[in-house]
Amino acid sequence: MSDAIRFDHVAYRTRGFAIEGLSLAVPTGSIYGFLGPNGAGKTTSIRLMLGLLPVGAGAITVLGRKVPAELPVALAATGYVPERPHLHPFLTVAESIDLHAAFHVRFDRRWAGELIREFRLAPDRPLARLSKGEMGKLLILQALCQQPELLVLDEPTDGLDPVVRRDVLSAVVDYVAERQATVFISSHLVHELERLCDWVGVMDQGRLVTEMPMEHFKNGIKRLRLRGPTERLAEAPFAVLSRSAKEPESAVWVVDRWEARMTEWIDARGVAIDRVEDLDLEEGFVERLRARREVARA
Amino acid sequence: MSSLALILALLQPVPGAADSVRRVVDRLTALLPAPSEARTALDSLTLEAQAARAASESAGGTLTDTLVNGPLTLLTTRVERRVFADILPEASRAWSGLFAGPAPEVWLEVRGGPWGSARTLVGRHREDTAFRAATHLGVRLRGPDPESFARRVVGEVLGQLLLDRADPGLRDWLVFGPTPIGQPAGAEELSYQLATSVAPATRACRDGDRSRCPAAFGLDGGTTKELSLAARGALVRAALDAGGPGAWDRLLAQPDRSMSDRLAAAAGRPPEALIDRLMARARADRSGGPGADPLRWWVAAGWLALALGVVAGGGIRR
Amino acid sequence: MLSAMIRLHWKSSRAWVLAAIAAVVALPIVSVALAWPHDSADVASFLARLDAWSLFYPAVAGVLGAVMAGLTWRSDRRGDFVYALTLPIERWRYVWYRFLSGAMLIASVAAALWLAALLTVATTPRAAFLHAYPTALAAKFGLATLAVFSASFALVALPGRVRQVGARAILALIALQALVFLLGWQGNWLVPVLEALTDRFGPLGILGGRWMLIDV
Repeated sequence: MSDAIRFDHVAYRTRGFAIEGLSLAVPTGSIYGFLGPNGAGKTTSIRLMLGLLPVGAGAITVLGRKVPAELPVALAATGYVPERPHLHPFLTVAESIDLHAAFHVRFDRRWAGELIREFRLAPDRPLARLSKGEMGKLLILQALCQQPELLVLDEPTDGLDPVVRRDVLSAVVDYVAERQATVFISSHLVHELERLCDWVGVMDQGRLVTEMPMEHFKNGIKRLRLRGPTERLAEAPFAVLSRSAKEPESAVWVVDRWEARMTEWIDARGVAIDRVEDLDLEEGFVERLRARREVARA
Repeated sequence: MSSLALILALLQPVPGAADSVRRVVDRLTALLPAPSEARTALDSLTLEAQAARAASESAGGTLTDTLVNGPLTLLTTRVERRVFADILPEASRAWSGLFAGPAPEVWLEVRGGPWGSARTLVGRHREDTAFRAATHLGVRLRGPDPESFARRVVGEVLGQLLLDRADPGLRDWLVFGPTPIGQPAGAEELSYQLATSVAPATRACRDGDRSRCPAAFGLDGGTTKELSLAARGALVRAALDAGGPGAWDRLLAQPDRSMSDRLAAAAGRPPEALIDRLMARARADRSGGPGADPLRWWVAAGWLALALGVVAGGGIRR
Repeated sequence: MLSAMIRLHWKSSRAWVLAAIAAVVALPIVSVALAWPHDSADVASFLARLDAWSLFYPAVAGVLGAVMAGLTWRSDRRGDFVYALTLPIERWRYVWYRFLSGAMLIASVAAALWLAALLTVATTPRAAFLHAYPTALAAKFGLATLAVFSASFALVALPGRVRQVGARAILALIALQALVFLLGWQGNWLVPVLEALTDRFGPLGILGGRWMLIDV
């Protein structure tokens, strides 16, 4: 399966911030969640991908097209919803849609009319007078009606109320289900992505911390409550993200790449496992970040 | 009426407003910088010519004597060679064409440069190298068009040489010489005068009464000359152009006759025909209005293309 | 795409375009009417007054060109150019469309001037040796507005930091010149700069020269 988006050792530098050696691959047809705390470089990575910023080193391809050499071709098949609204405020909803349709040959005007009704948008209202939720819906509408092969959504639901958020995300999900499009969605709302995405990449301080299928991300990380001489587990076949010992001969570990057969390996070293607990996506995300930052400090 | 005068006129009904505006304008005018160096440099062409004339007169001679004994040197600063490259050969040809026999010797040398302010007398006229431009390359003059100004100065000097050899009657009628090169000096001005004059003979001439046109030029023997010196110079120039070689000699030949007869002798045709030709040229002569000076249009188009190229080539950036 | 850009440009600048059209339609009519002398034979004062009024043509051209350029990029700049840069067309093409759309709106103003000038000339008796130049006036107005528009267009499209540095440098030069003048020192660099901008070869040279609708 080819990749819809590919970063190969991409570097970018600006005052006070740098992205170094970023390599990621978004499989075609996947819904890829791009996670990271504020200031991690998620939006910068998206801007690099869309040619809004110049790449310092490395290569980026979008839908098989090199960026920026073949950018217009890539953008013709890419629907983009930015973090901040970027449309002309003096236009009305209808005029903004008309302008967008003029530049996108596959724009589906009939569907746009349906979505206007479904999202309850007033066609004659100037964009400057739209609420945050209405603007969010309009941005999604324009991106979807382009009929793109790739949807790039940068914090699409940030600041939106739950009802609008649900409308926006369900429109995306419906589109993906029908068209097999690829979605690249960046967010710091981890729980939202948990339900939506089948791939996840985590960014922190300009570096990609991890990238894997969502299933592995959620299920590969466990909290182990251990009893016994845990120093015997030094050569464990899993990554220990954190250790805490509140009492002697007792410890709580958070481990990554956990598999069920590893309980036998632990038992064989005289350590008892009182409990293996699942972490949700948010807890797993926090633990991975914390471990990475400790390594970076060391 | 200037734009300031118009504004002041419009403010008349408002008490004190016109005086306030006038005071503000006076203060602002006092802040304006002195005239530019370019204008001063061009003016030096005329000043030096006048100085040379004054020097020759104070020595008891005329300008022609000065030239026979040595050249008139036009001193300039920062004038490019190319400004005079075409003007001087044209002046040489025009000068020679005025005389039936060999033309009187004239030598014009233009000398300038950052180290050159020495006034020297050089050689004599030769037929194979009539005029020599020894200008020094320098910074291009800004401000008024240097070619037309230089042409005017050279033409005026040559015109003055012609007039120096004339009799008092002709000098009284003309005062300025008939500038033998380029466009006749009064041609543009003639159409302006004809359009705007309120003098009776000129108005009648403009409105189609050809019998009144000689009176407008002062050819009727009267003392009133409604049209300007430049216009009369253009008429004499038209007579010289029409008369061909020796026209100037024929014009000088009979100082006791009327100007009308003298012009007819020079031109080989009646002065009314000359006037008709001048009037036709003035009628067809347009300032060009906003379309005059097409160079400005081409330059604007060039800057427009450059700006667009810079933006498109650089592209828009965040 | 071009028609969409023209609609976009019109939406953002229609108030100014309509105001400019009103101004250029009124100018020839009002200027000739107000310049007309009491004595119809007094052509000299008619031409002098008309010359005074003709200053408004380059003034309107300059203001219109600068304003249109500012309005062209204003909403793009507000959105950090993100919308423009994520459209599926080459950037030079987008710039070209932006320029063309502005140029077409400017052409509409010049066309309005041409029609008003033709009407004025057709209804004004003219003395002998005076000529009317409605087409040259409208064409010069259009070209002058375009020249100012393109220069301002290029300046406004520069990155924000470059514009800030440039603006500060210019203000510093002006302040320094004022100081030199007040202290009575030698040094005059602003006037040569202004002369360079507006002389025949300068970028704003087209604003100079003759602008009279009726002239010799």
